[in-house]
Amino acid sequence: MSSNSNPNSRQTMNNKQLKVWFLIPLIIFVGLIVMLFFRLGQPTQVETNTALERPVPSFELPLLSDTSRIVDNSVLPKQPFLLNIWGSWCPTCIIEHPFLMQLEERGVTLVGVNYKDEIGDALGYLNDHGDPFVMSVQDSEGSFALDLGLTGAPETFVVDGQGVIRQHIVGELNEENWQARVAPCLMVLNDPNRGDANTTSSDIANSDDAAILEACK
Amino acid sequence: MKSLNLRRLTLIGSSGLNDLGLVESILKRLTSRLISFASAVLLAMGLVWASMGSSFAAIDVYEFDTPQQEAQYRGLIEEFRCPKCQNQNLAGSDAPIAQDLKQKTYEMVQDGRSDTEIRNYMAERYGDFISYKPPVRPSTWILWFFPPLLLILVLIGWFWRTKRQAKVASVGAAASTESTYPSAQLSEQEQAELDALLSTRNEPAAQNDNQVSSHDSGDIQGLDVEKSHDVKNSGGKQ
Repeated sequence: MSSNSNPNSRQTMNNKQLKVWFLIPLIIFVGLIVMLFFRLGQPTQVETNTALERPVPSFELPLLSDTSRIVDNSVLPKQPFLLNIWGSWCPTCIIEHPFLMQLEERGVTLVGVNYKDEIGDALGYLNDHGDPFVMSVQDSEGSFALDLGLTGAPETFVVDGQGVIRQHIVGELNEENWQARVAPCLMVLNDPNRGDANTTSSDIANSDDAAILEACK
Repeated sequence: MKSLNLRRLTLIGSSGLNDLGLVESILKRLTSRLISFASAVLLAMGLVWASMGSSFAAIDVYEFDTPQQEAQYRGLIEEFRCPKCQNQNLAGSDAPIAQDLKQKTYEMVQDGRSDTEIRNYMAERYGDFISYKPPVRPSTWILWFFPPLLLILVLIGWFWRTKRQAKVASVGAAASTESTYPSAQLSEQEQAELDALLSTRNEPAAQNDNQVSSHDSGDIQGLDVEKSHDVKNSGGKQ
């Protein structure tokens, strides 16, 4: 009799343990559901921004308008500007192009990098759609784009007056991300007090940098 | 065809397997059919494999001076991730940027640069993201060391558990007449109390074996009694 009672009580204990073990997959499953649910609708594309807070990489490339002229960083504008990587073969660039024309009308300085394109196609494209760029350089090998950490055309870099890249827009530039991201950034970069603050005190310069970082997210 | 074979087979059956020549010819037919079937299967598998091969990125036309360089190049483009078409490596991607990066990798390999130099070049432009092999540094320690740590902890826990169980079992076996649980051993006074309790409880069913009645009692006091009682009596049977 007593030999039976002990295995029985053991059995019930084992059953309880078994129930707990069966609950573990359910708990893990619920945990996963919660975790995955909060990731829904969030961007899945990882954006690499290694070019930020660094000077524009040095380049020596021919001008698109006159390929016999090789230019380098010294020809870049001395005020804040947008560096746009484009190609006549790139569908999103064609979608983006009318907005770039609008920006030019609004007085935004645009520099183009003609990325991996045929010279004839590129010039034909600018003839057909208009040329919003103060100048375009020809990056037929894609080496300058590589130095910029490009992932694909079109991409736009916001460069400040000192030639430092402050913002990186992957993909199409449009009214929406212009209002949300680029315009606030350019406003801070164009702030006339900024240059003075830089020269007077390093403390102010630091807070200035923080303001730029904040505005150019 | 099958029915024909069947008919022939029944024919053999009816003729009592006397005609060995017929059996031989049927066997020959069967083997030849098997061989043709096998070759058809192999051909189909080959076709599937070939079509799978063609679904990968276009074949590279790079030429290398040495097989080592080619191996280095292949290893690197397998390791690097395409920045545009994410979740593909450079080897599997035909995106323009992947082509550029493959070209760059090729040039650097031809230049005789080391893997580290090429990795640094890529990481400078595309960050840690570029590699499917993340670097080991404090911020990635959890990535590298958490899984093995977890495994070690689980193994330690498992060993500890099995060891404890083995110990319990061996103690139970050694102390055959004693209780398995030392704490459950009753002093004389406790034993007297227990006997008194049991005798009062068992009065209505005095003829019954007191183990049975204590086992049947359902209240907490009864359970306690049952437990100590069982342990005491069945220690040797564990």
